[in-house]
Amino acid sequence: MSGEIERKRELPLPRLGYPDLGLGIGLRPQHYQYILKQTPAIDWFEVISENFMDSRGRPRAVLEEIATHYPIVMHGVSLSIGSTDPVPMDYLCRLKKLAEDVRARWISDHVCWTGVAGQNSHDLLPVPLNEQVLRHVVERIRIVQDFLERPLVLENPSTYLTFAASTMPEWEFLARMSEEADCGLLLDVNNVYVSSVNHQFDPQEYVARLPHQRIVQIHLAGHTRMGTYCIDTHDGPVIDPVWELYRQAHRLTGGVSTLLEWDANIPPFPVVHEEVLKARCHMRDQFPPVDVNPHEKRSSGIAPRLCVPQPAIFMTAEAE
Amino acid sequence: MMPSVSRDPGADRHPEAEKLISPDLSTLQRWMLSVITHPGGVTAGIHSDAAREHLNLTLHQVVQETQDFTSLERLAVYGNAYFARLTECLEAEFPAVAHAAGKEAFRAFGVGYLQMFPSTSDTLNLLGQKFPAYLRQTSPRSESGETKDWTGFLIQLAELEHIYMDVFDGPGEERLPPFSMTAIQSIPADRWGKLRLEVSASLRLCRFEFPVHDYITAVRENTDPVPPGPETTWLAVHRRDYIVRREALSELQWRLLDAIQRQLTLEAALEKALGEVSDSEQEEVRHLGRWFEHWAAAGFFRAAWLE
Repeated sequence: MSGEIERKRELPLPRLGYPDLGLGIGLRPQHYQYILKQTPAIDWFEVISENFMDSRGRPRAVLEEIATHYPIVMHGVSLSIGSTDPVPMDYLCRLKKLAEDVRARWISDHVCWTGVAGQNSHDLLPVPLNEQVLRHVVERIRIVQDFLERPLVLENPSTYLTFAASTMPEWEFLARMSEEADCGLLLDVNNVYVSSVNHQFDPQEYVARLPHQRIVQIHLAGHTRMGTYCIDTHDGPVIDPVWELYRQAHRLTGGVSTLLEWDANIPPFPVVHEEVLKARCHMRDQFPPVDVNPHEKRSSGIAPRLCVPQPAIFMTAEAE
Repeated sequence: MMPSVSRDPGADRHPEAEKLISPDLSTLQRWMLSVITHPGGVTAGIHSDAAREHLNLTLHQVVQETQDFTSLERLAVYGNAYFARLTECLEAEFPAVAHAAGKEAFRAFGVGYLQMFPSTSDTLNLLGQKFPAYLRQTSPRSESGETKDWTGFLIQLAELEHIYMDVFDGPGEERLPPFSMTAIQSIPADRWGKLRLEVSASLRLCRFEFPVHDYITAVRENTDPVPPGPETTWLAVHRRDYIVRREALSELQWRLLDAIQRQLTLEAALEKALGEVSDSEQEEVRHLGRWFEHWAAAGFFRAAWLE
């Protein structure tokens, strides 16, 4: 009996105590005007942290305005938690300041490295999944969490290669990492699907084996099939197999904040909004009533160098 | 439908295997970065001295492969993405340079730039910071082999497009009360000479040898402009209500604003600017009062104080 109580005490709160914010959309400059004018009925927005940390112009002003109407979550692409460079303290200072300014509900990034020796590739590069790297990543997460004074939430990236030095599946790496570092997980079900094609694993087993109490948020997105592999392009609607993973994750987590990312060929806001609202049907374990879910987008002969995996989100100047 | 299922390739490996083929993480990362950022592609990258210095293993000893997706193809996704992503960002910041240079030439500039100035910033917003300097240092040629004027035009286009970006996301005055000439008008006229005007933090005064601002506007309006001939141009670029604005100036206006920006008193600024007035500029001087009213209304100034 006492052992059972002890185990219950050790279990983290669902979502590490973070709220279920409902259905959100990644905030992109193409939609600023619409959001500011219409104040659409969306539950929350996620922003790319690096696009706002140093901004002293319109992006920052727009974010501050939107933050007065909606909960904001900060999602980064340059923390480089798996890098062997020193933990970027200056970056963390700016990150923390922005989080305070916009009252960010939580801060997330990716299980990856983006650069080394001071160079940033601006890509989410994979780490070997083994004991040595697990220890390295856990230690860095602890440093980051101590500094930010809140649990970090880390996302499974889409990956295109497995290192020969990997000794465990990704779900095991994430599960142990989140337990040992006491951090949260951002489960990107599209990334699970993309990686499952690229590495030929069972995506449902992957989702089933994660520690569901630690999943704080789910990402949805579209991708592109490049013949025998997939690229995470965020340039279209979510396909049915990804929705299936979402339904599974929803059942297992009991419901967590859900966000749609659409970062290339971005349609008007109502189209993106409508896409994320489909999640409501899937939460009830139903498919949307009409056949609106497309087939997987195929590259149809696009040269691989023209098919850009995410992230590639940047600002452009608005001039008169 | 779910994809075909097989075991995770790394799942069953014996821990001893890690010791045999697991390079130090830092070494592995340096190797991978040198390979995927090689301008000749990942095959050339793998065989480059830089990569071999880090890791002298065969590709299969580092990256696993499946029948459908080879180690080289896997690595190439990252190599292709590196240049595609970053040249796309550069093109978004420098659309007029890309239009003038042509897509292929611009991509070549981008690849060369990333080699000479790889990103060390945590944000893509600063990626193009040194692009004008790179073009200056390397003096590119057009696809048809043109140099000289064309090169100068391209460099100045890049300079102005970067200024737009800098002004757009840099400091501005939007959160401060607007500056008004009324405050100045209450000062007795005999003391105006001792007045100093502080210009807006976003104001940039530029001088170009080509009408690059018109070309940039035409590209943004999708009118497919042709590169113009040389024509000296003076510009004020600034931001108001979070939008970048630019205004063509006369040379005299530019000299006066430049002197004000250097924090000279109004008396000294006028002396410096008007001391060099040419005959053709005499007529302009009569409009001095209106200039100040317009500049103040446009948001060129943020404060004024007396000595």
